[in-house]
Amino acid sequence: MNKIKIKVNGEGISIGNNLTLSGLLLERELSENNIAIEINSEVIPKDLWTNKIIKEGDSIEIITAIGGG
Amino acid sequence: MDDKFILNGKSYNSRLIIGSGKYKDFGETKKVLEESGAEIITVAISRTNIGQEKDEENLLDVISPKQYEILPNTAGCFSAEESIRVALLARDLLSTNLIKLEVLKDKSTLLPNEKETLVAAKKLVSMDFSVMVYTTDNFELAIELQNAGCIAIMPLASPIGSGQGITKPENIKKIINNISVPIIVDAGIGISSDACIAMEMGCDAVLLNSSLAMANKPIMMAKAMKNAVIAGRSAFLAGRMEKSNKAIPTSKKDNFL
Repeated sequence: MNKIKIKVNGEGISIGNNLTLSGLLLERELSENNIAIEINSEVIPKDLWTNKIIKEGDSIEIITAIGGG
Repeated sequence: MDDKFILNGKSYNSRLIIGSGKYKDFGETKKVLEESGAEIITVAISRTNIGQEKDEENLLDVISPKQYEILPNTAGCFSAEESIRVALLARDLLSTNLIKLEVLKDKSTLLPNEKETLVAAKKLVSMDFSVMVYTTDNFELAIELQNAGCIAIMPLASPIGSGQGITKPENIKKIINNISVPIIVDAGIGISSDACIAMEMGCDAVLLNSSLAMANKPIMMAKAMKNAVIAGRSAFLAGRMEKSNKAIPTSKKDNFL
């Protein structure tokens, strides 16, 4: 299977070709709740995650809320 | 007397806003929030730990957006550009237009970057955000931020996490006298009397975090802060007596008999 290289939260990883954002979360065992995602500095709304195909070189940020003032 | 705190078209009973950082665990966070009576809670936005357990508890499970008004901040941003990016993520994550804008000058002082704060405020307002802005005690900047469309001005009492209290009350007073949107003292509150003084001066609300999290007994301090804010607000509304440079008898009698 072809692999592509991407970055998730600054960490370089290899994933399968044609993987969607939802697929990535599933593969990394991350819950879809309480997170937001941007690809290459652009926010991807949750309803697009199931169809959004990740491309070679994409830089993905997965964020959540943490304690802060 | 009906004295609600009106912010962004919503009405609140509490004038105490609590930050959710630095508590020993989520259990303590929850108890502090309950004891404080706060209805608005700030959170920061950060990368998830991608190695985390799938079922690991998340802050948003503890402070439910159904129960509290969640106010995301842009903590850790040092440029307008960064803060706008964080605000967009926060809006998507929490489905809220509210944002506590915080653009800092440097990591050592954690003081606001005035120029970048104003640039970011203008941009965020144009993007339909309801901007509550963390700023210095510079009243001219406060006026500019209000004119830019910010819904609340949040001057620091003293540096973030310092617990020094209101070091320059005359500057806060100047902001109060020149600004019509809510004024929320943010950062530097150390103990309940600091919060009380801010409210007695006429601030609309107080935001604090470290003074609770760093207290020996955070939950007990949350109660003290709640009472202090209520006391200070009541005193402001009641209006203080004139100060006199001489003693004035309390009794109307001139002599003993």
